[in-house]
Amino acid sequence: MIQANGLTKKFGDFVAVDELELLVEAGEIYAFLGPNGAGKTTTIRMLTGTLRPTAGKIHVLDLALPKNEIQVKQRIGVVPDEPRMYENLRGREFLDFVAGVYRMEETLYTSRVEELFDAFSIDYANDYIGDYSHGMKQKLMLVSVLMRRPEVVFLDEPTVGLDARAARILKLLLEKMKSAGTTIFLTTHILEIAEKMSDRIGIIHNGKMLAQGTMEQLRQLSQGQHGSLEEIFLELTDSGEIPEWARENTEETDHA
Amino acid sequence: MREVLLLVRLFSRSKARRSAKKKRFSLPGPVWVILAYFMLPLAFFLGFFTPVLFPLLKSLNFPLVERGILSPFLALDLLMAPMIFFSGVMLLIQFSQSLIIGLFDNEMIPVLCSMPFHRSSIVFTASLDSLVQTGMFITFLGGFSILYAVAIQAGFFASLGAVVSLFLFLLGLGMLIATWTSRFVGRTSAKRFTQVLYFFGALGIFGAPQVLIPLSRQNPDIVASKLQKWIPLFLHRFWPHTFFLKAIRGDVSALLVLSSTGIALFLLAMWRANGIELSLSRKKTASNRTRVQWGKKFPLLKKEILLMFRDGQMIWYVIYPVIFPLIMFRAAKESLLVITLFFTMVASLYSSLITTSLFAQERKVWPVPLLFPISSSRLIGAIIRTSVGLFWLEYLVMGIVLFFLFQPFWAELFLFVPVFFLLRYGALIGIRMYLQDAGRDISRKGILLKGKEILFLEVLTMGFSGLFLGILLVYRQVFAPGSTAWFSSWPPWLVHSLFPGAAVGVFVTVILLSSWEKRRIQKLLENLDNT
Repeated sequence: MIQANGLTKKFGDFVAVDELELLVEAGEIYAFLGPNGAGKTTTIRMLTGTLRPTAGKIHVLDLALPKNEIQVKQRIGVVPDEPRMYENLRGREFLDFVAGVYRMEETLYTSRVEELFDAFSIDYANDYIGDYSHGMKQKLMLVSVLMRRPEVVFLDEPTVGLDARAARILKLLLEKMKSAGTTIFLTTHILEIAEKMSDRIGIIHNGKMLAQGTMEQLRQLSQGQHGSLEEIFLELTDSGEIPEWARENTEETDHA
Repeated sequence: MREVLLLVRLFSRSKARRSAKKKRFSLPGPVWVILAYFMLPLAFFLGFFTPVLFPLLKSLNFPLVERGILSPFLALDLLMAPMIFFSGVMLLIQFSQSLIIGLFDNEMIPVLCSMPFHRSSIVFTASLDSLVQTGMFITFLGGFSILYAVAIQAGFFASLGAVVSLFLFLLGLGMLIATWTSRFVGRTSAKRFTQVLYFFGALGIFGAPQVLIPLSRQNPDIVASKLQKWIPLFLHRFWPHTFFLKAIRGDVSALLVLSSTGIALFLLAMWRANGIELSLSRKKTASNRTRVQWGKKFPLLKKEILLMFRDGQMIWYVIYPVIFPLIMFRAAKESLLVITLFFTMVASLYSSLITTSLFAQERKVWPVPLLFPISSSRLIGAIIRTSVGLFWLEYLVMGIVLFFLFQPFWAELFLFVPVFFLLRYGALIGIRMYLQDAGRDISRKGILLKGKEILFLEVLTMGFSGLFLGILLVYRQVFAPGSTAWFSSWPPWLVHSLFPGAAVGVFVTVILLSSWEKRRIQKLLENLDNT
């Protein structure tokens, strides 16, 4: 469903993504993890046809990218890391625009939007996007993607800015979409989400894929030394020792 | 006070534009900003208003009662009152709306609120910042006041006291209006409103000499009798500007009332500012259910039109090419060709500025536009079509109306063809210029292109339009009855081949340059997709 071979992206001399090998099967939730600046967003941008790779091959929905860019974009949905939208449009007008671009059937569009507005408690769609908070924009961006029910969904840090209820709703919706056969590719820094929701996990660091597999496979990779994804992630990405003072504080807080 | 000074420094520093290049000498960023807001209106005021208005005011400097009109005012008060009133109202509205933007659309405000600053200091500093943006109306209000004071030879301190009191009054009232209206006016509406107001204000001010010049040519007694009907309306004793005019003339009680009201309003605004919630409480939509409207057909066009008509600057760009020929209507001597020349010179430039502004809106949300199943060239195409299409439609409507009005030579009807290509060339060159530095800083409202780029745009768009239509205009002179033009003595075959040939040459050049610009845009877009 999503396949990348030898995927590389260079910005001048800087190698942002280095010969990445990736395979995401249809109907699975794939969590793509990595520290800040690891190359997650660059990878998503290449997989979604918004950035040309320096080298390597990409296939999404069995269509080669960037050759079939428009056809792929028609069938996928992307929630970018920053929900940037035209500030001088109202939320409703932005959704109208998206529905028009994707040529959604009118009754389907109306009913799905109503459904998602209810789910995310959106009652501000008649206001200008420029007046929204980050979380409000994020919810609208999610609606604009989920209302289309794309075959593959890419979500870059989708829970950032969302309140607890909206984050919970999103997780439930993703589960529901997965059971309906949608492929979900998501990046997150909340490892708990990745651990609980995903079928497989990929960990990228300095542009290189360090490990990928199911949670069980990752545990085996660490030779059973670590139980949680957090510990595996920290060990693989060599994020450095947690400073002693931070541990002490934690312990003090625990005792208190 | 220390707090306010610290905040003023912080606000002014944030205005400095990021620049990679270090210049040998440059004025500090805030000085440029202040100059930009004040210099043009000041130049206009000194160049156009003062030479017309001052002699007019001097000629009207006599008590109305001397001409048998029962009123304690001077004749020039009748002229001054509406001018002070309208510029004051414009200043008040623009200032309060700019303050809403300054307080609620400023990334620094939440940070400052988390620091130990008084809210009143933050609001006061933001209001000073907003005052700079109302430079046009401040210049005109201040200028009118000075001309009035000089015309009646008022005392310096009385005039100074009156001007300071009026500004304090407007500042306090504006701050109160801003804090009150922020409850139901969003920052997006405030932005649009401010821009539209600015341009209509500018139109009013630039059009004012058209009214003042005929007045200045009339007998002062006739002017006074014409204006006396305004007494109950503009010189009502409770108007702040009536107090202001009286205060300049040395009426101490008027000065006291104006200054004490100004101080009271200012203190009230400061007191209210300490309790202000510096986050916009959005108005709830009338119904909890959102009515979904359908926009299936031409979604790109619909979006571009919505974005265009929600930006005050772009609204101005759209209407001015029509207003300009109408202003020049008399000069056009009932000629469709001359009107077309005026229209196309302005519209081709504005067509490039509109496409640039619309593309800048896409860049602000980049890379979101790339997520849609639309190629970048289609996106750019939609922007160009919208801008060119709109101006072309304007021209067609204007052309048809004027055709029936003037009944010009039938061939002039076909001018719509070259006009289209000239507009299209303007749009293409604007986009190309923007794309050459696609990562430019567009955080400062209304400044998208560099001065050099705008100059280049003006030369190319206005130059080609002027050249093409100018040649046709000269050619037409041959047929004008009793033409004494220097080429009238040329052999007919030379005139008939030289002028149309030159016009066709310019037209073909425009078409060739347009396709060259198109290819360059395509290349620049490919690079943009790869960054």
